[in-house]
Amino acid sequence: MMSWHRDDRRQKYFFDDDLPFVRRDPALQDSSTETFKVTGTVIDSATKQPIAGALVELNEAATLVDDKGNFTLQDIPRITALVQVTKPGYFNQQQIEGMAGAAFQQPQMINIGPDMGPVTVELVLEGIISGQITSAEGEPLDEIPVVLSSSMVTEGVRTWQPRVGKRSDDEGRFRIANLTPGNYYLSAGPSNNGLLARTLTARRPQGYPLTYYPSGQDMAEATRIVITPGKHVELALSMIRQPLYEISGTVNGVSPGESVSIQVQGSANFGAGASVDPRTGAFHTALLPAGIYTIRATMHNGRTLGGADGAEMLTPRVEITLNADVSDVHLNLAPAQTISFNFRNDSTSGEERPFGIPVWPMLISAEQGKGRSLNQDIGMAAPPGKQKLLLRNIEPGRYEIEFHPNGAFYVASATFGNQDLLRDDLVITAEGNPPSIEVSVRDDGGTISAEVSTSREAPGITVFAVSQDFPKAIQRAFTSKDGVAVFSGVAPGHYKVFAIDNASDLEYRVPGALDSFLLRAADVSVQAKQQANVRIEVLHREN
Amino acid sequence: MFLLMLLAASFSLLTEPWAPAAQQPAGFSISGSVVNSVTGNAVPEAEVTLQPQFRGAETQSITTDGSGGFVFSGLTAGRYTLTASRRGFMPQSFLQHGSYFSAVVVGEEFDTSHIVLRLPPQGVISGHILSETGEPIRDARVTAFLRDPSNPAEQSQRGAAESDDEGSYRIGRLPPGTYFVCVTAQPWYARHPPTIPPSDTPRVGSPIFHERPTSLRSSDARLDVAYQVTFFGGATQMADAQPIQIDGGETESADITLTPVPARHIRLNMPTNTMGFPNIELRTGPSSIGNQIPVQALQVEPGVWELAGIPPGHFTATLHIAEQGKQSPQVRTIDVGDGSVVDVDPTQGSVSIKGTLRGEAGFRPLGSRIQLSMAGIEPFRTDVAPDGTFEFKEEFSQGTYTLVVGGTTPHYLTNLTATGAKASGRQLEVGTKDVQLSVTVSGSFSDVSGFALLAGKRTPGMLVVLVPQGATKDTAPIRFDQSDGDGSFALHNVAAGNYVLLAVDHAWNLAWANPDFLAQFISKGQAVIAEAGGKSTLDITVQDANNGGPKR
Repeated sequence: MMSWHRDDRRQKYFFDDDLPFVRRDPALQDSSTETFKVTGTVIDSATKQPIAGALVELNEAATLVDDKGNFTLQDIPRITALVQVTKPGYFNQQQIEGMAGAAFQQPQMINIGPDMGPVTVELVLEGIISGQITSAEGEPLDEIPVVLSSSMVTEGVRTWQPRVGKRSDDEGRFRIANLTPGNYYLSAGPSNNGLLARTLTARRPQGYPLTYYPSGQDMAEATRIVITPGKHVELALSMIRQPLYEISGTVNGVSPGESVSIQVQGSANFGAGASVDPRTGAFHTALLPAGIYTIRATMHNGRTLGGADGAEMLTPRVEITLNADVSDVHLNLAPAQTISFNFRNDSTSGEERPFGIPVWPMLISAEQGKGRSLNQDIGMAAPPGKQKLLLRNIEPGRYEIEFHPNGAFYVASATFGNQDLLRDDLVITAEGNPPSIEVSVRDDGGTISAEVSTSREAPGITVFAVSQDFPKAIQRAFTSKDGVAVFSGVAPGHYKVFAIDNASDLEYRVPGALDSFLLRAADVSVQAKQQANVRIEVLHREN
Repeated sequence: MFLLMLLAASFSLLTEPWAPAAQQPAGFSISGSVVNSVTGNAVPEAEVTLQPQFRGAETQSITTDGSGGFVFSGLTAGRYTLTASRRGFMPQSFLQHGSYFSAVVVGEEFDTSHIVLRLPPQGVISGHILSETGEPIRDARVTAFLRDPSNPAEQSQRGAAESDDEGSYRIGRLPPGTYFVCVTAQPWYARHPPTIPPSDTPRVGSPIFHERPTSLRSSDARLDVAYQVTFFGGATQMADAQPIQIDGGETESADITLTPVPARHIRLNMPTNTMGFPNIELRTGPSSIGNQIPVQALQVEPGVWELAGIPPGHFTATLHIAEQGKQSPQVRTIDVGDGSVVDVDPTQGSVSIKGTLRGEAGFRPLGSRIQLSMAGIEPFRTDVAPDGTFEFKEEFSQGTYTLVVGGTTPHYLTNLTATGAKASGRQLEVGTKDVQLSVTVSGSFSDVSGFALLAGKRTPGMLVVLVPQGATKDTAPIRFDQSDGDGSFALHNVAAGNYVLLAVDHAWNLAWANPDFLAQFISKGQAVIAEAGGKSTLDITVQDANNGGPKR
């Protein structure tokens, strides 16, 4: 509920509600009008030199630093708050962590009060990658897509994410700024010179294949580009013209009145189109440079994917290594598999209250090796009023499946036919009428409270709790300011608990990654509705 | 005599060796060269595409040789579209002017061996966007507008770019012409605290929207600033902007400095039963070419909002108001000037519009649609019921709208009358009263075709114009064509009415689409009455724009 009050001293009006990153000292709530002056300096994280022209924001105040990097903010009440500093071309700590996909860590707050000294804030200077793309003959190539990717570890899995995309200009040049420190890979192309269809009877059309810097067509040959604060890397990339080809064939099972579309996917997020005759299903793709592509067709009756009543037909993804025209590809439409999750609340609390979806499943493809969550590709629909979740358009294959508890519930059992999903992967076959995934949740979980002792004050240590009964379940929590990490609503049983510093890029899903830590972990037993306390030391991890 | 000269001339240009007639490849040929339209130099490695305008033949493509030459042979007689393109140049069809070009006509009596395709080289405008202290401004949106050579009062957006970390931008692929460059950007450090106080008697009946404003009490008044939309040369309006001339392929430099000015605040009164944030877009011009200015909305009190962070200037504001399920976008032009608060009250009257659609005997209204459009917003459309009645579900604010009748078969407007609003031609001036329209259409079109004669000879590349006269001006547009290789022109789907037909030489470099320019040729043009369902075929004598009179 918002209210507003008049500030007679300034003839201004502002809203009194909780701003982010502000905590008021409860002992002094609203009754104190004591205010303080906050001073400080903004410096470059590498050179430690002052930075002019940065913007400092704190509470409801904002100011620009002077040309010596110094700032003064007046009339700040006695609060604990985050000093937010920004400047184009620089990153502050929260921006770096956000871009690296690091789990939320407690931001560094300062206590405003009479005893505080001047504050120093560091900003990290951006990196820049620029360059020029030319043909083998040295002619600049324009409108070539350039993609910078970097790897991120999310939920313990290393994935390659495209981060920035640009196109080369009329001189073949590109420039990508605003880069956080890290390792990047650059890919250029593919480009078919804008040729969409075969209308030419002259020599074979040509274009440029996907090329990873410096020159290979395979990601394994890519050279990583290391960016440190303030580094500017200039690259030259040469692309070799190659013949273009097309993929053609038939989509089987088309029905009149339904729209059919074809998705062609190449490496580095390259997508292309194809034209389809909706009556016969005959298709041919745009002209493509040589490479590895996956192609599939979808047909739907116009309702959106993932809608509770949308019906979709899919074909399996077909992988094609294109180094000549490929014809006579058959894509066979079949009804999309829908698998439903049935949630059963077996709690002992006795209340029959509706709880929505108690745990959120996450699917990771074990086969494609990409290790990324497929939740977005697969439409998830939760019909209202039911404790059900529908997964639509799911292809046969093997998947790692995880359940993310919401704190109040834990998964007591999860089965798919005779597959025990708490111990094994989810395997989906092409057979029709798959069973539902039966998930039983309970709300009588216990709590593990881990106090991490460490010689230095370091909030944001990662604490792991690995279930001994279901070793697939790896839970993480972060220590708060007082060094305690809490796992609530966990299944009763035995756990190994340990804490690691420097865990943000630990690929803990790789088998064996946690072995050395498990040897030094503390054993914890948790009973239903009980709290188990444990004190552990921080284990150090080398980068 | 004529034929021998023809063969001799061809000999020097054909890249194939001349063979005696008996050994010539069967069919006709098209040959010529591709040159740089500015320097006249040959353009090698250009792609030349020949597309037949009839069935039964394939499109072909050839790359020009070292002297820019090309040959297509073994061709069937008929009409073809011939186009050349190359990286670094604008694609060009045979005798192309604007979007009009001539078909190449191949046959016994036509000489298609000296075709020259002139490619205009692409130019570049590049520069830096800097702040008043000389610092680069990144992520500024830079837009290049091209003056329409056929109608110099109009411009169209031709390219855009964003400035990079050095403030540098580059807009390429620009054909020769006169350009204007403008920048929209916001100071990155700008913060906009609320300045409009709640009134002593706040309005009731409207919910308070629970949203968190960035209500900073700024320690520094320097932060409540904005950049005005700025053109190259420093002006804030297109009319005062410094033009940039690109004649062919060069790179022109255009640096623009942006100076922060105090940002303005606008008070917005919303209708009492709307929920949520006001859905408002502020643009520098009509939605088709205007850049969007970001607007920060802070709630002052129920139903009253403060829009902050706005630079002074002239904007088109589009407010999307959904009342009881009805969408009604309202468009205002706002002048944000030195006064720091502007009242915009969208609750002022909106009117409903409905009417009937009639045609000739046998006309079936089902499938027709009535469209009302106004510059700056998406057009309003409604379907016509089988009994010919229609009603728009939106409400309309005051302004002038243009009416168009669309449908599954083409029809043209023959009459529009209205009660509650002023109708003239296809324009409708909406005021404060509900509107009832009576729309009459006809589906009987006419064809006007023939030949353009220059000094008695059928000539390609001539501008042919059909200008509506009298009452027809209100309902039919001016029609243009360019004579083909055989001197012919054809205008289809002409609305019945009175016209003057004219043909003009040397007009392509002048304001040929501007009605005032065409007026001087009307007296020597030819009157044409286009009958519904009829065809007119006539020869039209070409007038020379250079000499201001018809050629004899």
